Amino acid sequence: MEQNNDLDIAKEMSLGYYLTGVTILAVAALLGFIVRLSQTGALGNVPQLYYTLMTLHGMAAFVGWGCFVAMGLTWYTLVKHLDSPLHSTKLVMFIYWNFMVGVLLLVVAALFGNFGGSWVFLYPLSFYGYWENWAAFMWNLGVALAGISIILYGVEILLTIKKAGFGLLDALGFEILKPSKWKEGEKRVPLPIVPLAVIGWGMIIATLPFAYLLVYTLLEFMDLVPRMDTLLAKNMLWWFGHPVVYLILFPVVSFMYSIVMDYTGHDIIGEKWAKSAWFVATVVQNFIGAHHVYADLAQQQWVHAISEVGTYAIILPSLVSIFSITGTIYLYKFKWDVASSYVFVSLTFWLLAGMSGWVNATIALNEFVHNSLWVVAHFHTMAVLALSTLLFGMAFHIMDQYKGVYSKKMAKDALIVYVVSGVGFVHLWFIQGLWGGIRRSYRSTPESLNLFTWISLVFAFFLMFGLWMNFYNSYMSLTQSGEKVKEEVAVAAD
Amino acid sequence: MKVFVVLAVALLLIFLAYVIPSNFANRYDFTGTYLIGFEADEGVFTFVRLFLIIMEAIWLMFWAVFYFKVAKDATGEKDETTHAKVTNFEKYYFWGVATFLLFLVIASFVVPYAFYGDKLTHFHAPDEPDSITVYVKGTDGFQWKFDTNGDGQYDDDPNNFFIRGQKYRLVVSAESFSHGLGIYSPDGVMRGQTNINPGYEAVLYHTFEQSGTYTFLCMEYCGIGHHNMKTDVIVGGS
Repeated sequence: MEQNNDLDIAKEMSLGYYLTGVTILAVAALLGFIVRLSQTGALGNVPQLYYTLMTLHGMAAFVGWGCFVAMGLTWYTLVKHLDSPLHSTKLVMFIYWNFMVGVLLLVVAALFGNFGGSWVFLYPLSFYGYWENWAAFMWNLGVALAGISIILYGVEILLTIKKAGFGLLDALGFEILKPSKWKEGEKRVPLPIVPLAVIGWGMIIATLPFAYLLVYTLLEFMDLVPRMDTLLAKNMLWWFGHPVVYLILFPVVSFMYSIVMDYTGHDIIGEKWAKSAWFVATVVQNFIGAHHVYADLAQQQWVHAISEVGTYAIILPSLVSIFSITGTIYLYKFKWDVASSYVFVSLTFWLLAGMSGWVNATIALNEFVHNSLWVVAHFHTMAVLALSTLLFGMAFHIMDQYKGVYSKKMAKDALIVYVVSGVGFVHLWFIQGLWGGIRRSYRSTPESLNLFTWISLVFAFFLMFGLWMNFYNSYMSLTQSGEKVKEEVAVAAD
Repeated sequence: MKVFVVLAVALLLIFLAYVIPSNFANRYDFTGTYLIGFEADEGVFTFVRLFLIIMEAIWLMFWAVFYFKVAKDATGEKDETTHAKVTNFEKYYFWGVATFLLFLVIASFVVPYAFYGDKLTHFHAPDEPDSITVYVKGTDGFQWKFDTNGDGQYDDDPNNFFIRGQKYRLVVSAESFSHGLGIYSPDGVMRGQTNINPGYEAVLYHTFEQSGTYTFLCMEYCGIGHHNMKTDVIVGGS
């Protein structure tokens, strides 16, 4: 009985995070549409608007939706598969509110201070923009608060695993080195927990240097410290900036394991292989961010080389997971429903996004796609078509079991609108990127690419519409209105 | 059925995504040996496009077939026979993953490096004796400034200084914040780039293969004037 209460609490928290995140996404999608529209020149000469909204869109969609919702849905997954309560629900609530304060600061810095340093706000750009110093200060502070929440998220995951009686090293994949663990009937760390442990550990390691950079920047604003080495700062940014993508991806894999296990009624096949791959991820995940610095020819060659090898190695968990999940779906009786349809689409585009990422990861090919819209296309293929799809799927999966009556038809229709428009949207960026189109540029550069920007608006509109459908569906389900609908459905059923 | 339609549409869009630029390439006669990116030629573009078309097509078709098979089989009981199937699947697990990884390694290293390795900037020697050194600086005023005679003054007119066919050693620096130097040829194609941070110098070797007006663009977001950071440079024919 107590376990059910724990699970209900975790569901409540997960859906609370989700509802907040999907609201942020609804706004971020609108911002994204305006950003793309302004690039065509249809809104007149508005560079400041473009760069400010581009910055806010990036941070809102990536951190406010992707990272935040992945963090939120983690709570349910932990309790469900560990069969044990969270370490501290108070800490989980603190993470939520601390994050929200950070988000508020970011919004104020952008909308009232015109901060437009892009979501990576490359050091020392904060000091040299056409925005107020207080806005740049507030932006850095807001990101620092979000970073604190991310570190605490990692801590909460590891403590919850410990509380459930599992070894932390085992959860990080080291279990594969212990033959005794693989005897029949031995208790092992549930597979969906492993990616969560890996990212929990990884985020603590990745965020601390970045937090140092942010604090240093804040001190520099107050003239308390001298200018930092710019290349070192760039590496510190990407030491965090790439692994933070895994803050979405690794939990998404965990959710995928969880949904497929529920929908087949069986464990994921190839457990040992999968854990071996996660063991690799534990080791290399923090050594690959430097591939974002490939085009910095001042960087030492050996750093590039390590980064390239590490980036290839990180393919392993994705590859093995896709293999295992596909095999599990194929071999067992699979229930097709809303959540499983979202899983299917997510799986489809996961590898596609990975393949375009492989181009970025290979130095020989990266040399002509770096800084181009190809990178933007790759990122959005992963974020929009692979990761967000699964986040929606997981949320619907929890809603299926817990609270709210959402429209399954609308959820499926949204998926179709979303996928068709999303594919068109990202591929126009791929085209522009292959033609040398520069990313983060107010005008389509070279200008000959502006036609593609105009065409992409059609896809952008429907993509936004598809996201809004899911937002509306979720909102109606999880709020008072949803309760009323639920009651009406119950009455009708009687 | 709906999912299949979605995937078919997606496949069509992806196909168009790669065919359209290829047609553009033909229209602009990009069939010769042009330098693109870091002195890699148009063949790299073709390679990437073809590779992605094939991969995406195979992948999407696989999923379409897979969906139908699974959806169809899901109506029947499978649990009685699945144990043997799982055992069989796991037997081939290693070989499936290993084959894919082998393919990836070959695709990653053999293809681009074998064909373009000696042209890649990352493999250039620190000094190339036949090159002429030019200093280029990204300024806070969103401009590229040139020092062609090495006197430390970035006030030289680059027009008609550069000559087609000559190799240049561009020493790139940045004034107060980071930039990215991208060299676009007269036909609007990016031919080479490097990022640069304040306090550092990046060395980019470049040979101008055409005469006419090249454009030096900023590739790394550097602030609200980023899109205006472009400097036209006339390259002489001899």
